[in-house]
Amino acid sequence: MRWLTLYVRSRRVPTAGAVLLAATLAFWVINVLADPSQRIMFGAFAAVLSASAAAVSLGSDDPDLDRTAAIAWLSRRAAHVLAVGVASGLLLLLTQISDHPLGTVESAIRGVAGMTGLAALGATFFGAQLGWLLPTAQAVVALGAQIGGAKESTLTHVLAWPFQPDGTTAATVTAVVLALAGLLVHAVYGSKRVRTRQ
Amino acid sequence: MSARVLGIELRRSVALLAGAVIVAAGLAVAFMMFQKDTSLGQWTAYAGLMRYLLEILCPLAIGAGAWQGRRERRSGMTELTATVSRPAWQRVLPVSGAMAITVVVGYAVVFVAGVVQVAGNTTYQHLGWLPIPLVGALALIASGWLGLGIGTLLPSAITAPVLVAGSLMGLIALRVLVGGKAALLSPELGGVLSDHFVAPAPRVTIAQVIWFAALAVTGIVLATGIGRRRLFALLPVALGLAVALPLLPATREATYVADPGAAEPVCTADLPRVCVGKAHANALQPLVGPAREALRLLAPLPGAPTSVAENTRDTYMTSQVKPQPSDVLLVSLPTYWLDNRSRLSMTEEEALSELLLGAGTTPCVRYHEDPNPAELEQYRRELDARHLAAGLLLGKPLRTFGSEDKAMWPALQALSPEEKHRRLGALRTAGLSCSGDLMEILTGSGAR
Repeated sequence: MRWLTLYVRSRRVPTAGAVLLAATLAFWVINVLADPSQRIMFGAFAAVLSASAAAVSLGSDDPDLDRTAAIAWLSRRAAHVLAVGVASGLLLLLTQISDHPLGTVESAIRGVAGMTGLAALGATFFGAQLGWLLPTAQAVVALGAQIGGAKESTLTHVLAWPFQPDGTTAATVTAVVLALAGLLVHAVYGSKRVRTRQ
Repeated sequence: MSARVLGIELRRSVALLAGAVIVAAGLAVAFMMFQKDTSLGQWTAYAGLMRYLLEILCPLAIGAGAWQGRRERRSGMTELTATVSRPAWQRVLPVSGAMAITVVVGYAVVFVAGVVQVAGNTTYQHLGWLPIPLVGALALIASGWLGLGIGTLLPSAITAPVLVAGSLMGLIALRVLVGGKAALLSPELGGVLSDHFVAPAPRVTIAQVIWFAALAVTGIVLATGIGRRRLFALLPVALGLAVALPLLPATREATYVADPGAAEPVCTADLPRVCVGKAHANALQPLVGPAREALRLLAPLPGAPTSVAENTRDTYMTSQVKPQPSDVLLVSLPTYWLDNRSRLSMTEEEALSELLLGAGTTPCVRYHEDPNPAELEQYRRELDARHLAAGLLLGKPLRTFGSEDKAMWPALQALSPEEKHRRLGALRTAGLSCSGDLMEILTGSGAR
């Protein structure tokens, strides 16, 4: 238990968790105004924000010190990514109880899975503090493809996967691939080593 | 501020990266938009599209600013810089200046990408569109500085991502959920512009300049202020809102006003005259044939039109001007009938049937989004009558006939030529002034 407490604190989990909670709540409040056709988009943005906030918790301030510990990091990192996904997914799915759910059940799970995978990839490549770059870039690409792309092309379904309606195979496949890639790559390599405090 | 410090900040701060991100994201999204949009055809529409882009670029600028804002805290310099006996603005000015320069240059690069095409496509060369990208650049500066201010206030690693995702969502919510007046506080300018004969209302431009300048000042106050002095940052926001909101028009439609330059008629030299707006001059040549054919077919009717002119005031015929003059046949050329160079993308046959709809009158029932079933029925009924009238004039059914039209066509086609002309004439008179039900007049079932 003591190990977990220290781990949680060293990863800024309280901050990330608070932001996660506040962001989901804020999106849900905005969502009350939305009509049902827009909910998937709002849910997708909530997933982007959750993953971006949670990405900060994927690394500590002193990764070099972490690595000196002779413990099985691989399973712990995998567990951390999974925990991030489950926590933000549950929060998002909690809104399904209300009259104004953030997206559908399928789109919420898809969005959280894909975005968490992207955040884990981002943390691996750029460091935990910049893990949000990939989910944010995905949101921008998706918006652009949604505005400019042909509605029914597979390319649009892949690029703008967060905004696709339920049952779009290409979008689901993309999200699953991103989730698995993020989980695996992060578990094996961990966040890029960037020292943030001297 | 010395140029040397500015140079160092340009190289060492996040400014260059911010500019690069804006160029990359801007070009990528703009390229995707160019694929299916005809906005590359006109200056104002193109500038408007580039403003639409800001809905994505401004959040990125906010994020870059926020990331920059936590630099001193990240490197443990806060206390050291606080001891320097110089005003805080001297420290903030170089870094904010560098950011302003790179985001504006980035936006200019994205804007220039389509400029050559627009210049080659349009027949209406002018500079009236210039305020649109200038206000856009100001909005980008304001975003960067606001991010800088918030990042200084809350120097956490989470600030930047939360601001990016939050403002991306916020700007979309402002457009699709809030709408109305407040939507114009967003850097975008009423979505994709599909009317080629309008320009932004000057009051919108003025209000947006005031609003974005206020936001920029807020960012700087946040970045320079210490302790409670930061509360002053609320002052420019409040002032900006207080001045800008009353200036902004109440509805989305009023964002744009008529642009007389674009609508200036370009006509054929010989009679019967056919005219289009200057912005659509490329459409004149292909339009002349069908237009004169339409005049010939309408000639036997009482009060027949003698010339054709483009409907530049109301391209989508949403606010019918009635009674309509009988001597001019109005034709609308919305963007979906034009290509990038504003040439007709429909066949001459389609153009002819379009000109003959309602025996050469504009519709009376105003179509709007989200109609109730009764309105929809009324609209469909009028549309059917208008199509049948065009079919009768052409002497053959249109390809655009609905099932209702097809069912009624044989009976109408079987009428004697005199009766057809009498009914078409009555329909035309009714259509010009919007009196009576067109379908009843056409089928002869109305009381007379």
